[in-house]
Amino acid sequence: MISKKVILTGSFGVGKTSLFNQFIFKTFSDKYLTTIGVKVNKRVVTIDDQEVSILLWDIAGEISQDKVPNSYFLGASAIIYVVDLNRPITFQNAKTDLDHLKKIIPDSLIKVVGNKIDLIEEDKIEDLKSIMPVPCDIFTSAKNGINVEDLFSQLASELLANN
Amino acid sequence: MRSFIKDKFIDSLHNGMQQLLIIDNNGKLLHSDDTLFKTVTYKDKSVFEISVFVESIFALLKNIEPKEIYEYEIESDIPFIKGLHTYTFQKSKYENQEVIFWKIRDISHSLEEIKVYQQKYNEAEIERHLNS
Repeated sequence: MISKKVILTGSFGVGKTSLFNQFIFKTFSDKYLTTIGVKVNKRVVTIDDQEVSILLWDIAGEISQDKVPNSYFLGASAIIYVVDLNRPITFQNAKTDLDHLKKIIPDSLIKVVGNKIDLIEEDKIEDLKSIMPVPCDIFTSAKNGINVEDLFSQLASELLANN
Repeated sequence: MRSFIKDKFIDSLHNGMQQLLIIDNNGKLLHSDDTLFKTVTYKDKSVFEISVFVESIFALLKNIEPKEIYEYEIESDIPFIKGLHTYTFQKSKYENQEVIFWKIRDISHSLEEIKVYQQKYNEAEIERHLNS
């Protein structure tokens, strides 16, 4: 079995901890509780009979990723950069943030995730896409679990392929 | 916001209890002073059984330079201790072998104050974003 460090990052209140809890524990709480420092847990994902242990970091949200110590990102095989589809301000720094992350960890996979899709009316999604500085790889709802398993399965497949 | 947390963190360095664990380059626990939690059942076992966090960065720790210090603020992932801790890692020598010093400092007494401050700040900002 291979083990991979994967980091959830992005601005505060975008749902990183909710994605963490949905993936690790299959739970969700409506109550917003800020994260201090880092929380870490793991779950094994099986892809075509191969197991990948995802060592998942949930980092306290910062408006800009250059506020997070670089050492936190070192050794990460993948970054999940989360934005809140209901708060466009959370994706206004996405391009700068992703450029910054690519400099620190050039070999890491990066997935851009638009979370809280459950709060967006279907006919507004195209409008949102048009104002995003970087395209989202996947839209999720940590609340309803929409695409959360798919996100981590896709990631695990790519990590296996790159191994 | 981080400067407030940093100040609280620096304050806590003068107060928090700390534990030193010594681990070899394969992650095996060689020694612990057991100040915060007892490790008797983990002696000569992998520290990955104690901390997922250490497991997640061990490949990095094995390759740090002797003078480098890596430090992280963690919401405890160790089953026996709750709260906020700093984990500090540094290469050193112990009984003629290269080892990693892992220091765990309990800064939980600062946690509530930091949480209240950060929670209020974040909630106010989220409200402002949603209304703008």
